[in-house]
Amino acid sequence: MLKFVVMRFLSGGLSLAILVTLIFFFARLTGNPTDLYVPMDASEAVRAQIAEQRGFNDPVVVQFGNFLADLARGDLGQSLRYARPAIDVVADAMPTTLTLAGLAIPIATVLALVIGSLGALHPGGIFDRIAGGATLGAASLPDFWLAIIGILVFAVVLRWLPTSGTGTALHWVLPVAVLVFRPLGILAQVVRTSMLGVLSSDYIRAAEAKGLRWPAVLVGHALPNAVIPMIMVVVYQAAGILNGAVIVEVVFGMPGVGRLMLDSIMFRDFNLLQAVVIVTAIAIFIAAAVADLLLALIDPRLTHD
Amino acid sequence: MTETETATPGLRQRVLAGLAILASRPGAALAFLYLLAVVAAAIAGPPFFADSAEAIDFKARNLPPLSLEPSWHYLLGSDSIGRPSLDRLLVSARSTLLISLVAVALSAAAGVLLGLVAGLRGGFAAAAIMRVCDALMSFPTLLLAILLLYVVKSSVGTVVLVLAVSRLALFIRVTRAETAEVRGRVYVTASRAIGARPGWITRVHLLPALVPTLVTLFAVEVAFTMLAESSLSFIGIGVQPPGVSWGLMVAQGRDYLATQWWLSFWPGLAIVLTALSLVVVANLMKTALDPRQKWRLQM
Amino acid sequence: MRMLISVATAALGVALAAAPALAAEPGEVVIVAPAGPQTMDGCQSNVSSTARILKQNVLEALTIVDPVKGGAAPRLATSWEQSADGSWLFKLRPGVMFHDGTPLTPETVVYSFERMLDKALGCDPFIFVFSGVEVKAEAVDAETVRITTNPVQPILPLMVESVAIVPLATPRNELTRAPLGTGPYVFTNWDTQTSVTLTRAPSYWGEMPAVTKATFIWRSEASVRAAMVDVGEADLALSISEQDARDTDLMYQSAEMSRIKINNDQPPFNDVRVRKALNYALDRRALIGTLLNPRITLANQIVGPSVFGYDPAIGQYEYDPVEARRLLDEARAAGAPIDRPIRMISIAGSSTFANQDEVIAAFIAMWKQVGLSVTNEALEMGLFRSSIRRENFDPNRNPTLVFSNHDNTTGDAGMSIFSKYHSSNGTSDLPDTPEGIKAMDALIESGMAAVGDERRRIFGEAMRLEHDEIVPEVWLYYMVNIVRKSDRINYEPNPRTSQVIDLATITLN
Repeated sequence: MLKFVVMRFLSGGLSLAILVTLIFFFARLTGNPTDLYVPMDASEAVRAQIAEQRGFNDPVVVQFGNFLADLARGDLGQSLRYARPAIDVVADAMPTTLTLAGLAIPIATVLALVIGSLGALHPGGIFDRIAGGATLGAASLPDFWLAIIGILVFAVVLRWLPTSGTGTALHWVLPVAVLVFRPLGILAQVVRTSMLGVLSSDYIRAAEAKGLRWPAVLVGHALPNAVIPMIMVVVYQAAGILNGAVIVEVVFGMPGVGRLMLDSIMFRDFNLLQAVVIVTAIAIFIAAAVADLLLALIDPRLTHD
Repeated sequence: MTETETATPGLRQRVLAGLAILASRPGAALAFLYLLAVVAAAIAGPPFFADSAEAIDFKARNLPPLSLEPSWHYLLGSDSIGRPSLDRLLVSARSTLLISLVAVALSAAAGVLLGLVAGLRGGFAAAAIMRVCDALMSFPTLLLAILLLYVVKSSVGTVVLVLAVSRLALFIRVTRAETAEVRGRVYVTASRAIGARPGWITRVHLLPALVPTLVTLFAVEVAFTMLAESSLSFIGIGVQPPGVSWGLMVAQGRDYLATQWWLSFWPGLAIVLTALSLVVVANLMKTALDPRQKWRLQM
Repeated sequence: MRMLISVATAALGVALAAAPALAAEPGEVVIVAPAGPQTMDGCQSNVSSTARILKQNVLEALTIVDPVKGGAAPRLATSWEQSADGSWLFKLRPGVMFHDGTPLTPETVVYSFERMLDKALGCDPFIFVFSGVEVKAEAVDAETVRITTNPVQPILPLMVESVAIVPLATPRNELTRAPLGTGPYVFTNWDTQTSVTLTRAPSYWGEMPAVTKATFIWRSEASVRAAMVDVGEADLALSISEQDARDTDLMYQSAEMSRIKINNDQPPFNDVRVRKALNYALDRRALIGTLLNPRITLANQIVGPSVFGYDPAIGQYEYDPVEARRLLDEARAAGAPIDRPIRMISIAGSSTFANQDEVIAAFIAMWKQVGLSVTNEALEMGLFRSSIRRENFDPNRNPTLVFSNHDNTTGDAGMSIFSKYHSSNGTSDLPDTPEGIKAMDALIESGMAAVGDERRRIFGEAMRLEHDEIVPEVWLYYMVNIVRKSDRINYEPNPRTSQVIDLATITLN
């Protein structure tokens, strides 16, 4: 088991290194940022000068060397756009996104467990159809659409919630609700499917045959088995929630990591992009490692690779 | 499900049996019909409606749904330059469907292959695949897409490629997990012990176990790829006008949500219905394909 | 789903009990803009997201541009005159204090000019306004500054509007995140991704403004901005979209104009008849009042009526498909490849018009009517900016149009004409022949050196030549912007509102 944990962390570090290298070279393929930092009307002399000063003219390999040297010292560089250390900018943005994900994922997971299990009990029943349809339908709506409709309905027409921004607990209701739908729809499906599989398997039928009552079968036997595939999907969704976070943070004007990533790509703020990728990748890696550990504890066969 | 079993019923009987199953399940039948309609629109939409969908008519601008004047084309309303929503919806069915199907097919093909290798072979190859997979997973797919689209020129092909790459990690992970699980089953271990080759094991033991999962995953991913494509349009780098897709229509309509809600409502509804139908049909197929659950259909 | 609703309703009930008042304290205003600032230094005075917060509010310059009439008006300088050697003497306003308590002196003015025009910082005034100009500022006496330029700048009083005067405490070699100035508002806080707060300066030299505290926030969706005023979360929302606008919203002619550049590197665009046909083929008036704001007007030159140098005598290419077809036939007969597919590029995700996709679709349909096949390609901003540079033109590319807009921020046509038509700029559109280029360059240079009526005449002449003979673009519209304000405040937008929100002009009800 210890070997597994060590290997897991080593491989995580390797993934991170791959990711950072890929991002570094990939980002620089998007073009010289001079065009974005120098006004369109600038003269050629000015353009050349700015490019020189900011090191955009060095060969990419030299830039990579400098980047690694700085990284070894724990320095992620200055953000071009904000003119301050990139890591500070990321640190400012992290709490917002963590809060969004930290609220949305548990809510989605719990609701999915309840809805999925109840649906699997009577597949094709009224509850299964309505709840399954509703969660999937909501999950198949584009999140920006949900967000804007949410604002129009709950903030403008009903006036129950603020339109956007941060500040009070109420400000979080709409963004979190929007973020919940996508993972909820998927997770409810996963729970329902694996529950169906488990419920039709021999040992559950045996348990039924023994005369155990349904709640006992469900909670005692079926649920633990159905949870295994779910954990993996939850982690995947937690990573994927950053996608939703980009949209939600843009529409609701929230100061989070998703918007920061988007801006850093759009403005070719390479240092900031690298910093934000490294930090989020570490966060996701930790979540994935915890999930793998959990899975390994439940099902030791998974440790053999 | 062994080979002899799958070979027995003729095609005709199987179609009839399928229709019987649909007839006893109105929900599934509706879903199936809707998907057929979408496919029909994808095939017949562009040749019949391409011109009327792009025709600009300022006299017919901003018509609400259920307008039968000036013609039935305006049944679902029109946009601010008088293009009928219905025709646009029908025409864009093709690109919408093609983009998501091709993207997910590419992604599934590559993902299943890599996942099988990682699950069966183990060793360095598996480690390398899984590390790249982890790296892909820890970077939001939407941002990966944006980065890719900045590097390569934005075109429909690029959008497809980007969407395919963004779905890859999931297919690898799911395939590998299922493979590892099946590999650990007693009868597979026994097969290996008596010297069965990996190809044989894959065909006989793995694929039957994998297919139901993958079919569901494929269906759900097609639906969510439509959404991802819509998100790209929201940021402004998805399918570009004059190209059309449902995702783009939803994104374009968002500026009119307070005034002309129907512009983004219909394409949004089309996506939702497609997603629902795909999942319903996929669930049915999964049940039909899974030997452990087949009995449910015979009730 | 039902569960979720019930949970959400329950949570809502709890939260509502503690709902805070959304209304601001008296004297406080909230302004919501489309985009947030990137930096907080007067250095970036040309980036509207920074400028609209700082300019006139926190930072002041020696002069200001008169927002309605154009031309320079006094601000930190009370008067100025040009000496015989071409240098300018600016008399400083007495009794002005910086927000850090130090007084405005000639030394601070010299420091500000040295800092803002330092190549190493690469500030906007250096890049935009003083590019290629040597500038030297020196103290003459306790209240006079001499600014010498080479070459001599006849409109220096207008140019110095771009240089914010900052105290010596402002860091010399880096951008500041806590700007200090002399304005009526003190920079208080910048929460990087959420808001910027300014509070009224107690010791302002001028008249005390009504607004005591201003918070700038930003939301990317126009519908959200509009909604924020409706529900009382904001007092002023900038850039409201056409379809959300209502009668009570304020409309104003901005300093912005939209156009489609015609790159003449590829045939048939090297034929002026084709370029004229592109203009004649568009029924621009048909879009006004349908797709576009009814108050939008047709453009025919690079600057609008509020800018010095605008020539009211220049004509219009009125919609004339017959003439367009005739010109194209003529060009075709002369060997121009009219049937080549034409590519138009625009910036992805940005919208010059509220419904830009539809506007472009309409134009493409109109060109199709006269036999030109155009497709639009939206490029991401960085890609767009690099592909409009002449040095990057691919010799094998399709004939190319560039959907673009231009905002004159100086109030003088010189900046626009020089950057759009002079050959020294990498993105300008030039006449077809080397002689033509030379002649246009010379004309523009003579205009840049002239003053008063002579300057106006030469600029007018240059823009008439561009319109009637060179035709390097399709002129579209002078843009109209819409802002929504709450009932709490009174505010009158002016052509510079997109660039500068002068808080002192806001009064409270």
